[in-house]
Amino acid sequence: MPSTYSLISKTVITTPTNNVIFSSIPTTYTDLVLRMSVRDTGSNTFVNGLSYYPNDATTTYLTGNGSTASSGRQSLQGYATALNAYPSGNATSNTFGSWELYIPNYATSMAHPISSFSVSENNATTAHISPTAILVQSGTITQVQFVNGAGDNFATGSSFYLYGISKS
Amino acid sequence: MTRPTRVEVNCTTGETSIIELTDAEIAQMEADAAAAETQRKADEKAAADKAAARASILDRLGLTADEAAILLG
Repeated sequence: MPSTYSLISKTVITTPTNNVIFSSIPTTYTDLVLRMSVRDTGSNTFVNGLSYYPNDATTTYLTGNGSTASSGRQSLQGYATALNAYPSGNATSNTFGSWELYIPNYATSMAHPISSFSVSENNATTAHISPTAILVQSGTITQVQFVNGAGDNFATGSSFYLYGISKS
Repeated sequence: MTRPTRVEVNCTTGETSIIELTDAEIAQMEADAAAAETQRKADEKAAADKAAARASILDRLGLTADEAAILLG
């Protein structure tokens, strides 16, 4: 397990926006970690988020809310979807979901098994969770783009932090 | 109606830009989202159909899911 953890870039949303891109990511690290605190402007419980990659991606996802659970697999050309569990515009004010994405060996051309894990926040009896495994079959990852696939926006105050991890 | 935007962070220069999406980008995004949603619904329907078929077979055999798991385990 690499022992260094360096902030590469961050952005905090000041005007609701549909997608966020970290471009020209330096290739000096071993792995990437994205930590995000996100709220949606729409009314969906699970938001179908798209993330774009240099090659085809296969996705395995689980969703759960304490009483029902589901799972599925997808294989898409150059992007992946994750049903992210972050609060909708109807959730308790000023609540934000936690979302982490881990991308190993991003600067190599080998396959990248990416993990995505998101949990919503809401002052209510139901909580939502969504773990997702994404396999990007090959290709160096030089940028990461998150699109709100429901056509909504990431709400003001949502934050995106990109970290690089180096071998110890 | 406000045009959708993207926030682009250049990790090399540190520059952050807010850029309006072009018509082509909006069309691509909507097409990708629609394709993903269509496939997700198809996956969910396939899983539900399989579960219903399994339940129907167990019902004909007079077995519960737990009993079937013991037999097949």
